[in-house]
Amino acid sequence: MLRTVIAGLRARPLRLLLSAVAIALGVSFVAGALVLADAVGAGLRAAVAFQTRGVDASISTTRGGPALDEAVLAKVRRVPGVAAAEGRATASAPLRDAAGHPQEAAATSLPADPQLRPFDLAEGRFPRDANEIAMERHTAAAYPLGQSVTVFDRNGHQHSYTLVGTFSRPTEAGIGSAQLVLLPEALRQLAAGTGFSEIVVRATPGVGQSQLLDDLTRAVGGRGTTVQTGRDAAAQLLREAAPDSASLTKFFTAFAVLAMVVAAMVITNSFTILVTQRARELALLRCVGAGKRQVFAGVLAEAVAVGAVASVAGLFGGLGVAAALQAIAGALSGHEAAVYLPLTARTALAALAVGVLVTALAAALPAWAATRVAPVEALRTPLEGKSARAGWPRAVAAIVLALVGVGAAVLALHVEVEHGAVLAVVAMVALLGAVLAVGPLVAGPVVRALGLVCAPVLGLPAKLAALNADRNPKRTAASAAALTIGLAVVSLVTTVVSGVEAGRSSGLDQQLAAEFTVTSVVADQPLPATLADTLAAVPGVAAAAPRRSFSGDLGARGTYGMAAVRGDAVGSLLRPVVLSGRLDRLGPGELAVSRQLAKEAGLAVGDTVQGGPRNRPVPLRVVAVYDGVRVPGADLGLGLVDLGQMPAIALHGNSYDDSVLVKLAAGADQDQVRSALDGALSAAPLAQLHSLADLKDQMSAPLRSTLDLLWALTALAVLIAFAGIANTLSLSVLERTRESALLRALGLTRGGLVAALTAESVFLALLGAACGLLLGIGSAWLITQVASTDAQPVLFTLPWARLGVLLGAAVLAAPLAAVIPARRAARGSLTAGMAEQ
Amino acid sequence: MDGPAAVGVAEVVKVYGRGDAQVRALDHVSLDFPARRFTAIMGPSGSGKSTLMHCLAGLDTVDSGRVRIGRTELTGLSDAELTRLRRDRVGFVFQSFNLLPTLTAEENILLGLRLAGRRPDRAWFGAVVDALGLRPRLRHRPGELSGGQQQRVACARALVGRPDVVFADEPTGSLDSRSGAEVLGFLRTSVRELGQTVVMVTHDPVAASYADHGVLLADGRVAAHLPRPTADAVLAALTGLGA
Ligand SMILES: Nc1ncnc2c1ncn2[C@@H]1O[C@H](COP(=O)(O)OP(=O)(O)OP(=O)(O)O)[C@@H](O)[C@H]1O
Ligand SMILES: [Mg+2]
Repeated sequence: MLRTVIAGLRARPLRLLLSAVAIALGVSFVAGALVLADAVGAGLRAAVAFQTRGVDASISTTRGGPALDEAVLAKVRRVPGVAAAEGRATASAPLRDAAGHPQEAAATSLPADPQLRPFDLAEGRFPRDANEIAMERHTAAAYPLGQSVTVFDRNGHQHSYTLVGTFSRPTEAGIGSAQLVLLPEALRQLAAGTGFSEIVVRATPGVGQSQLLDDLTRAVGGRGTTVQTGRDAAAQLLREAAPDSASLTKFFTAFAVLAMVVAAMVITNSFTILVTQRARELALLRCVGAGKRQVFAGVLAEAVAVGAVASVAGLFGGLGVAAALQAIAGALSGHEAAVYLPLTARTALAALAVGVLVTALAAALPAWAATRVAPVEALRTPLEGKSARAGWPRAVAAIVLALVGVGAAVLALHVEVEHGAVLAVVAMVALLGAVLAVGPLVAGPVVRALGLVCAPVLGLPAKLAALNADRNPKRTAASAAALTIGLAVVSLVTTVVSGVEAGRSSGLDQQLAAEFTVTSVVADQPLPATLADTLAAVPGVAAAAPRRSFSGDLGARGTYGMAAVRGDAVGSLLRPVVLSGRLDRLGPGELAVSRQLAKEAGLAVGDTVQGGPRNRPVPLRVVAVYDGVRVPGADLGLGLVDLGQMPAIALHGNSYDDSVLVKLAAGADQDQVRSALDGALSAAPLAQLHSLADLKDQMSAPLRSTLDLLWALTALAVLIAFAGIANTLSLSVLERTRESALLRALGLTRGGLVAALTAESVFLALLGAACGLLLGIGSAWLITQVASTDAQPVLFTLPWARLGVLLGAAVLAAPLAAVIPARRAARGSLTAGMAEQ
Repeated sequence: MDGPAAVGVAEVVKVYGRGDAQVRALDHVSLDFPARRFTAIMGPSGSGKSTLMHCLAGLDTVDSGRVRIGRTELTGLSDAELTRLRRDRVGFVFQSFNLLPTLTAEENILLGLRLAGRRPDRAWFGAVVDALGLRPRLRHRPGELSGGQQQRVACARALVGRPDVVFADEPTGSLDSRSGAEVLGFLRTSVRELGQTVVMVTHDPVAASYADHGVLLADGRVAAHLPRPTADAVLAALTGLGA
């Protein structure tokens, strides 16, 4: 039996190759997504490892604990077994750009011990005296070595340094590393009073970490001081940074699941075709005496062998995919394009399992069906003409799924947002299932209709294409389905993201009746107290009002991130959506709470809370419940009070994120006022001016980068869907060799044959793309309806440009998918074609 | 009373393969097939019958010599010109797989005309369909027709465009004797009563006896002409070759 299997493999190398390609593509897609998911963590791990390299012990203090200063550092250095100890200090140090505006940056001190430096020299050298500075390689792109660099301190004074070197480190990965390096004394001059955030220690060779830990704890340990090994410190850093990367990992993992579904479809389709085509050969084997079990096992063995080989190839293809995507993403963002290719056991197992199991299953089902019919019957039945028509169980399943989907959708529109989201997801999955189930039923009529529509233009080729696509609706639907899924996901996300973007933009327009905001580049450094009045005096400015954020002490109700604004600005410059009560101004003793705070603290309009410290309580009356957009510089926090009220209830009397809202007079020229404002701001060097458009850009930047990444991945899904279509077509062409030869004998030109196949491919793509787009847009509509609130509206806007690109790409890619099979079909010799069995 | 030749070959050579594996499938064959005649090409297996027919019909090219249909010289025509010629002036009946499984009998019959973008002559279509007894089967697909019915559909397709010549390669090869007789009878009728020209390849002496004229091939050469062949005469001639 094995020998006939091998002979069979040899006899049909092309068919087998096509199936192997389908498997390899599918597997590389899955592997690529999984490698990307792991790479996110790998990037973070690399950054953390860099940050903590050479560190044998780390000393830090909890918030409010004793300060880590030079005295502590000196004590640490005297502990036996300590080879080197460095205090790590980082201070806000905005860079002055060419236009004189401050750009956010941080400076850290240069550790004297080279082994405790969390960065590598790239160019030049590290600073040797207090007038010199080194910069992170990418930040330094705009500055040649030897140039003077100006940095602001927190009081707005300028300090100039000579750039003597650049350094490199892995992608920052969100652990907040500084871009500037100064000598410790220079940093002390720039930011007096900056304590160490951490003291890192390197042990002398031969000293154990636990011994060192004990000695350090004895010397400097105590309440509020943590002494831990370098490895523990790294683990803690990783834990603190992980949530951010966890969501990215989840995103890629979700994508890997999508990849698996698409891959499974492509593999199943091509292997099913392969085995179905061989039904006769199998029947012949049985006629000459092979047992059912033998035939079945033979086919299965073949499938597993092909699946295994192709999966291994696909696994390495996946590494390539992941590397390419990271390189592209890196090139797009302009950061260090570090490429991580962690190949975990999970990735290898999942990829191989998808490849081998799906292939085996895809082969086993038709092989089992083939062994169920009497061999003579199978030999007699002409292969052609036998088409897989879809039955009623499929129709029932489709109807049930559609009902569930529509039901869930209707319900989702009428319940709370949280339940609505779950129901919306249920509805989307059910509708996708319904579309996939109904595919084989509608594929026939749809392509027939397409054929009729195109017939006047394309003539007979269109009709032939429709007939061919209609001949095996299951196969047609399965080829289109991979495309449906890919396009559904990408159109869904694209539409929702553009809805969120449009919603935020309109939410901001609604909330902020100011054209400009001014913020401080150092978050905890207030703007000059007189700045609002200075700006209000600028010609063309109608009003300017200060605003700031603080931790509001609401007594027994808890402490919340709140905002304070000059009372008369509420209702004029700031107009959040009011859910209950009234908010045309805020006076002393009055409090407006956000929807979230109202819910968390159980507050309603008319309630009174005791704010401030327990010994000096301040009664605050809740006058309104509002809902607002989160935007830097105009954030409303969870609660809003009058500026004069703030000192009495702010925790430790602190505030941060100072800003001024600037509203222009009617008819004022925005550009003119902008330069006038710029001039007025020269008195406040740390102030940054943002227009409303800048704010909108800032808000949508993170969304955009996510969207770009998703597009890159989905482009891959769509590419693989097209490879699937090309594969199906190629196999169909092989299957129809005799038919093509007959048509050519009867007078169909080569061009006609190519046109017929191209039209078939376009029909398939149109079917898949139309279903996918409808499904994606429909789901997006549902989500926008469910998720939208008054203050955070999610608009249902169709991103025509992007959707058009999708549909256009699908329709243009279809003829490309048909190129190779069509060439094969047209090139084949007529007489050889007719001799084919 | 032979009319002008509808199809002819002169000094045609067709060689397959190279070196040791070289096969001379046609070796300087010269033949004329008169119009409005039913000619049978006979010969043992491997004698070059199918090759000759493929070359005559423009399905394959010759290595040397000339092939002519009506006044048109086939040698030197481009693929597109050959395609157009086949579409407009030649009809085919093959041994098997004559029909597109996705089309109904009627669509299959009209396929050639539709490829050419020609309007079918309804009266002629009716005459052909009735002569073949296919009227009740027009809406069926090939899968729902018997082998004999399928071959009759193929005959109707070959004739419906009124081609200069109809080529049939073993049209009864996969039929039982009764269905075979029906198909052969129709081909003869189409020549006698409808004035068609038919060239048929067969190695069946009984089938050959339906023809007006027989040509015997052996090893790629014309071995004999059999005017008004009978089954016994063909059998005798074939046996003579085999010996
Ligand atoms: N494509 C090909 N490549 C190589 N040799 C070929 C090819 N086609 C035919 N031949 C050879 O050419 C010779 C003539 O073949 P042809 O098919 O014309 O024979 P035939 O008379 O039709 O036989 P049969 O009655 O068995 O159909 C044979 O020896 C055959 O082996
Ligand atoms: Mg033959």
